[in-house]
Amino acid sequence: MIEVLVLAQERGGSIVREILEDLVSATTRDIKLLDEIDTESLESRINARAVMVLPWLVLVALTARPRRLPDFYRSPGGVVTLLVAGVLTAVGVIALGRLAREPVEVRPFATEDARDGGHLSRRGRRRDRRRDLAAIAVPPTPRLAPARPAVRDARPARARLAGAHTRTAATTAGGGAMCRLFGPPLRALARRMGRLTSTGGDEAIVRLLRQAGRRDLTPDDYLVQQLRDALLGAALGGAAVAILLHAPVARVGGRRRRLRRQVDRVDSGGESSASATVRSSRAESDRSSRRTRKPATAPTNAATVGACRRIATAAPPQRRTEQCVRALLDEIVVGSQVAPPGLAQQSDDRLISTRARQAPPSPRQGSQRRANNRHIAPPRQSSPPCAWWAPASRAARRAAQSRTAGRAGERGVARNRDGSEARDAGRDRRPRRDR
Amino acid sequence: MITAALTGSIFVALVPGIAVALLPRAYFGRRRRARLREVQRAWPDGLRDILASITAGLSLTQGRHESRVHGAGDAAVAFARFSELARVVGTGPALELLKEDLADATATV
Repeated sequence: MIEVLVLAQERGGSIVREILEDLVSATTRDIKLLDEIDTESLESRINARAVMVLPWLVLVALTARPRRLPDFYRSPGGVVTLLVAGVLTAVGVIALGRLAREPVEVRPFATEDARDGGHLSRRGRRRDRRRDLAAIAVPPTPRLAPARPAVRDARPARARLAGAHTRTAATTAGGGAMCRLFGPPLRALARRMGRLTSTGGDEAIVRLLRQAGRRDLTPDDYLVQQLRDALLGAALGGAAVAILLHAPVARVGGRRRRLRRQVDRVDSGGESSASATVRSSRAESDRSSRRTRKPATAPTNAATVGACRRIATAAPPQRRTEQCVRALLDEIVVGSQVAPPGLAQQSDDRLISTRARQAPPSPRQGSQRRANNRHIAPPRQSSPPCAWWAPASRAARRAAQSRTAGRAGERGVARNRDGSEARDAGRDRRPRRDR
Repeated sequence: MITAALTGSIFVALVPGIAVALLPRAYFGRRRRARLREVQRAWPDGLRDILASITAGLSLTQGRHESRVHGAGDAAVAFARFSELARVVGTGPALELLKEDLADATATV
């Protein structure tokens, strides 16, 4: 377009108006067509990027968890799988880029060599060779049009007029190559995120900065500064929480919750599905929660283990009880590792004495056991430790009630199921002729 | 590096690393397209202004001096600078400099 204007400036004439009218209509049609192409290809572009990006995001999310998947991707088979997937992704990206490329308009006034007069120094030729080598991997974007040699005389005037505003993006960014490469995208991202949280737009920010006396800051610089301060505060807060909790914030409760979920899953599925892996995870869960375990539960578990061992070895051969005890041993054997020896022994004695009281006493040992158990506190009135333990307890209780009822019958006193004396039991059980 | 530390595998982090390394190229390409589109959208209004000036009896140079591109983008800044350059270096070189400014699609005018 500028070439057309230059020609019109140099030649003039009556055709300038016709050329400009054609130029306006052609440009308007081009813009309308490009808008339609953009709108119709938006869905395809989103789909293509999602197909390329989402599988790798899912892979990173899966391998970040401590399961078997990271081990597979460290093995040779996993590496080959990743390499094949990477090659296929690269092929897909190249194919999609070529299919989505818009045709570049041929510029008749542009020359192939945009350098000034084609006279290059030795250093310039070396730099050009490096540029050619890099262009094999990433072809450079051609400039829209080269400048004519006559423009070189006008450049100093433009520099004087425009001052610092004519510098390109590569020269405005300070620092090294990484800063120049990644600085503008990060600053643009920071500006966009800052605009999400700011209200009132750039005008409000300019007014606030002017009221604060910060005329040296632009709205973009202010938004970047705000985001940087927010990230710094978040990092310091996270570090403070980590120091207070003696663990990274992300790990607080995470591992323990995961292991507890596994144990709950096994418990809901029943003991028949317990395997070596589950037992090891249960032991790991118990070791991880050992520090937070309540001290009152430790002697109870240890006492139960000790009592079950003694019952399993010394009790009369009741097959059902033995099986139950062995299953109980398998269930709570992990909890016995934390019991203090003194408390465990004391609780063992207490439970053994309870068991001895539930068992039917022999005529010779009855008085001796009663004498021995006087100093022992009565057993706690609590629910049995497990649901399948209840039948044995109920059976023992029923046997004790029947024994008590038998003795009461001998004395002429009847008792109900709960052990209370019946009011008219003695009258009913007395012989009719005695009334 | 973050992905490698998170997953514990360099090979898993290879493709995300390459994607991050190509991020500046995607950013500057997007910026170039946006700027070209902005310049392209600015041309019809500018040309209509010049055409109206010529129809009103002004010369092409006077019409270009009067023409303005509305907006706050780089294209508006470049067109606004044209009138000053034309007074200093002449209309021809000023048009060449305007072309050079608008040709570098990644430049901050």
